Amino acid sequence: MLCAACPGGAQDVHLDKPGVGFQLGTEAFEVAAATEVQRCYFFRVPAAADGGADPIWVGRIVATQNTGSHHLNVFRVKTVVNLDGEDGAVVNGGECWKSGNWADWPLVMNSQQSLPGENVVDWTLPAGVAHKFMPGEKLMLQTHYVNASTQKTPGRGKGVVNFYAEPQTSSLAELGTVFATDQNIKICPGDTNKAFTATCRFARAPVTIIGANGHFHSRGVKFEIGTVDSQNAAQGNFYTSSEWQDPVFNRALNVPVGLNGGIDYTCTYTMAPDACGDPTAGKGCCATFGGHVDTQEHCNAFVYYYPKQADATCF
Amino acid sequence: MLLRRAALLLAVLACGCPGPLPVKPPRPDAGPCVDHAAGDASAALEAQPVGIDPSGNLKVLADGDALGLAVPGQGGYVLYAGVRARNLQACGVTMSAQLVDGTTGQSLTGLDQRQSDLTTPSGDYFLPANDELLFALPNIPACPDPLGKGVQGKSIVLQVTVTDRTRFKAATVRVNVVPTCPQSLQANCQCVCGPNYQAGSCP
Repeated sequence: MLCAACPGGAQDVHLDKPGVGFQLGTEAFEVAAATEVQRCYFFRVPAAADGGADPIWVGRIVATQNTGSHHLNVFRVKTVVNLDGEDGAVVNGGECWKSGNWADWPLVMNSQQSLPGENVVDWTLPAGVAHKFMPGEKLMLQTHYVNASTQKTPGRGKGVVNFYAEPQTSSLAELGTVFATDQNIKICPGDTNKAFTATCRFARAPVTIIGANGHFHSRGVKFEIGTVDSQNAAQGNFYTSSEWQDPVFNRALNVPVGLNGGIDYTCTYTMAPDACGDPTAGKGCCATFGGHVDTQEHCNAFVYYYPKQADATCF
Repeated sequence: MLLRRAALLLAVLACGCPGPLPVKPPRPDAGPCVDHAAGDASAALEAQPVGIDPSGNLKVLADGDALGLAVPGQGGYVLYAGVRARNLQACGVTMSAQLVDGTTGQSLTGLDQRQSDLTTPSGDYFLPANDELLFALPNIPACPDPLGKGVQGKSIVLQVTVTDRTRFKAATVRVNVVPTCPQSLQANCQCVCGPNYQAGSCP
């Protein structure tokens, strides 16, 4: 059952747990006016129903969030810097804001859909493709809620993700992910269509991209993702979005990437002359790289493909 | 597509180089910069490669110079490198940079392209303002490298293409550089920026 406003919760989302598979989720929490809340939840992938140590292959992912979410990302925990926790631990703010803490944590999935009526991402992967998880593997779910000037949270914050396991696990192609972020961006009052482009090549063998979305903040006017060849030469876009708050998550892609190729992604920004991003000293009201929606900007690309190559994060 | 081809053609014509960087068309109207000519507008665009060395200093790059692998906020390591240039419109200049293998010509890093305002004199050339360098110079995504090539300590060709906002002027410069880890992060950097990197495998 998918509910966007179930009884018993103040507009809180709910998903029944998968019959076979596992669920990650947050409790409902307050997002006070004029604040942004970012919380990191840690989980261990449970053992399969038979208690064995075999991988769990996930063929369908469903994510839902209360309105006001800026993003919900799930990562596999790798190198621990200053952010960690055991199964059930929550880090509220603090180190959960510092992106260097999850720099090499591969993306599992993401959702930016939280507007009423559009807050469920239900993604069945193509036949023969599945996400692979190991029992006991540590995951981190990060949820970011905004109740400030650029984005509002009318109720509480909450997010839930279901991972539905495939009954048939032979001959599956493993899903791979790409998380790419362009750093040291700077957008200032009066900038018009200021663009940043970067590439991320990851295809140690030819692959097929099946899903993608982009992520930036309120100065973003266009997010484009395309493919590049082995020389970083652009081969054409397959994703364009002009929405920053609930950007489209295109899950019906079938885009080939050749050997040693990858993606390019371009973030284009405009900032009104009388707008102010970060008013702190030295910023001149410009918005620079960072997670705070009201004052900072991002340029992040999320891409899903098969068969999986090495974990791909590009900075 | 036509614009991109035109830009590439112009780059070849401007510098006579064998193969310019792939570059997307520059956006025509970026920045509050008040446009003016940086140098002689009637002369051909000229450029010299610049980059930030392992000590954090900007320098005009000569063959064999070290280029610093630096850690930006999100993580990973990038190289800050671009050009100083003259005889172009100062505002909304597009720089595109990557590292390539000097023998095979194969790209060894990601490519970064961004817009800059070359408003600060530097000798007879022009640079972005000093406090804008990290934002205005391409942040070449060097590592981790999902293809596992590894660039640390290798002599590699830096290629930078610069295009002015009119799109009628472009040039490509090349110089051999050695991506070099910072002293304070030697172990991590040499692992993350070395060959066959795997997530979670570095100290």
